[in-house]
Amino acid sequence: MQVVRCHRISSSNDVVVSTLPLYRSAPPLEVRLEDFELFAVDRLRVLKGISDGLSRGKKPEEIAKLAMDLWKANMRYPQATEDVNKDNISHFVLRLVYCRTEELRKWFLSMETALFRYRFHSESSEAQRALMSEFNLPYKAVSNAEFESVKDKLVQVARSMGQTLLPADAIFYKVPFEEVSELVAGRRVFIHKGHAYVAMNQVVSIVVTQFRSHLSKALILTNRKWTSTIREQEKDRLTPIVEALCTSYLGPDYSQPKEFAEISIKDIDQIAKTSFPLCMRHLFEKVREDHHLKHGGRMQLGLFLKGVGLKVDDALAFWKAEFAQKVGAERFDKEYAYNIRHNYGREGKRTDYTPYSCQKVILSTPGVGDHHGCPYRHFSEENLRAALARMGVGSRIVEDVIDKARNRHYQLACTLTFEAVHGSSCDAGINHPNQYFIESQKILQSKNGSMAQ
Amino acid sequence: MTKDEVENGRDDMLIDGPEQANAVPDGFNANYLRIYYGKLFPHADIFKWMSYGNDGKHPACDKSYIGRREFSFTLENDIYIRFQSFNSASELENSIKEKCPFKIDIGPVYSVDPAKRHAYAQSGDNVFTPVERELVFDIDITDYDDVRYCCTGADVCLECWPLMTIAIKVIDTALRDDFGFNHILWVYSGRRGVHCWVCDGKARRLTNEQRAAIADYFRVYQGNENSNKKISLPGHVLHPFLARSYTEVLKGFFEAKLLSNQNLLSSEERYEKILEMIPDAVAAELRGRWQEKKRSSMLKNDINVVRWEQLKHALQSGKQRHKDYEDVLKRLSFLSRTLGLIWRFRST
Repeated sequence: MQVVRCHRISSSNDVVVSTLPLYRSAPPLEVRLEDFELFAVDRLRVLKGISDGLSRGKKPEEIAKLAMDLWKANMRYPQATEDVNKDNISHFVLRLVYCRTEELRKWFLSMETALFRYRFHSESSEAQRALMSEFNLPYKAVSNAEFESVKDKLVQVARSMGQTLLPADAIFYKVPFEEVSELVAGRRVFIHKGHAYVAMNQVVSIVVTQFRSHLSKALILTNRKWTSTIREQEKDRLTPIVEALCTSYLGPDYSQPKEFAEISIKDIDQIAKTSFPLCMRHLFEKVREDHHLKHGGRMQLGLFLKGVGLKVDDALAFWKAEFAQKVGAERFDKEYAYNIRHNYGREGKRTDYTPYSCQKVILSTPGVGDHHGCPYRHFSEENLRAALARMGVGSRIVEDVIDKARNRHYQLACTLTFEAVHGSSCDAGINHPNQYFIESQKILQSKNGSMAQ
Repeated sequence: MTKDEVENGRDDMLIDGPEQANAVPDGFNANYLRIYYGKLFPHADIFKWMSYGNDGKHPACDKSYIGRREFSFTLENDIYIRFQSFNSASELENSIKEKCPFKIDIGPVYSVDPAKRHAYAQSGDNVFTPVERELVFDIDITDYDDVRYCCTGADVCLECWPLMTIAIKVIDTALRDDFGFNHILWVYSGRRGVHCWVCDGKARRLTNEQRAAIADYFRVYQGNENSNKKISLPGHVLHPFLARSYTEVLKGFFEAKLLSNQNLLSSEERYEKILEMIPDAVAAELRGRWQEKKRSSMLKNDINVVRWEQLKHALQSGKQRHKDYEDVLKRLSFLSRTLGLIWRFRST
């Protein structure tokens, strides 16, 4: 990168240290096993926040701000030096997690590149310049004299784009025009004899492209290493963590129902109609209809009901009342009751027995005779339309929901449904069936409360 | 003239006199094509050009290079054969003489000899792929049909050819001064336009995206007959490329030649197209003046030039900057059609 300056910058005593790592190589640090997972989870919150913002169609400035807020909230340490370690470690752990399939790689690449772009933008210009030289772009520096000779052309280009003047400390870089195709195409740079004179703010796009291309190659290599050696070597230690991480849900687990703890069986039909998300509503209807559910359905609905506040005795009574009609009371007691008590009796942090998040529900694969999983994913369009109509969703919104589902934005589809059914918006977006339930109850309670007055 | 005629010093030149024994018929003739390939076609030069120095003896030669270049022939009866390749000038020459193609196209240089492409396609790694191709621009005079009134279609005459000259000068200057290319060949395409071949190594190795960027760099004109103001030039200050094109080429040609040659302001139908591009108030005033004087008493001066001066004056009395801006709009409306730039990078 050839640097063309228009001001001599006075040397300062401060060493400009950029806190934005380029992740060129894994840091030679020791990491505690719990930090291995925790750091990655924190970083994942940031990446998923960005992903969410993008798929909800937020404006770029909004997403940038969101990203930086999430970064501050999740990735900061009291000591600045620790920040960098966490930054590096979390990135490299997630590389392992997200290198394993084409789709995962694509997602990770997009989110990390976006994050890098936002962070780069928010760095000081000195830090930005330091970063750029780290990219090892093989261009030599030139003298100030050259800047003077092209200055009027640079001003002309700036003005042609509607910018008033070059800022006082404007810095330009001279690169082969092939490196900045987009800028050339839009006539946003002055080019001469094959070189483009690129303004600092335009440089960001060059840098980000380099970052992306490097990470893309690195992910392929990581995948090879993972498949050939790491996965086997670490099968008792890191591998289970890595494999669980990309499907991990990052919000509250709703395993300990708090406020709405008192749900009794007689309320349940009513509540199912008003406050269950479609996935649980469907399972519930099927239990009532068929007096049976296969294992996947029992787990998904059973744990949901536990999160909703159904006590263990009521749960047993509910399931027995249905199943006994099909298999008889004795068989129920023998084969099914134990598992229900097991779900309730289990304590501790095993995620298997916490109510399923949307992510988990979406990822499950219902087979023949199953009714679990996410209906926005598995229902035919016809069935989905019918189900939404039964929930009272207006036909125009049904089309929106169908569209989201078609584009595989299942949670957004569910959020739209929630908003339509309750007549109010849900900015946070639905990512857990129990969250749907709680939000729904909140709205209904407040309506009842105001009516009671 | 025959040797006898020269020696006899004939004063009156009878060139196509009836007593000429071998009369040359008009039109294309496959026999003449055969003779052309036999005696005139520069086989060796073409081969040398396409080799780009790899036919020499120096250590950096890539012996496989020329054999990886695709040629395609269109034979009699429109038979089209692709993926022809040659390892020596004599192979190329013999093939052309034998097949007598009505048209020869030069394709890209591939990663492997096109004749062997099937072997590589099966490996599944997509190894047979183009790696080099000249940057080629194709400009047709028909791209300018909405601003030339003397000819249509494939016809060209001295009045409208300057449009082509403008395009050539603007593009050639930009390719050399802006993009730094040096090895540029401009050639008449044979019918109604020109081709520009940029042969620098850097040009040959450009990606599709980079080629598109160069074409976009030239683009000013968007849209078609349906949109009104089709030229987008934001701001009053022009990018140095546009400014230079205006000052060095467009302005001169417009005022000296095109204005008059094409009678751009002589009739209502024609001047309306230009009035459309300037502020309504000014246009209305001019329109009023021109509609009245159907026949100007000042026939000595070309009516187009006269009206053009009136137009410039009218705009000038507004904002100075406005004048330049609008002027350029008109000029560049002609330039714009170079954005029928079609570069050719044929992929598999």
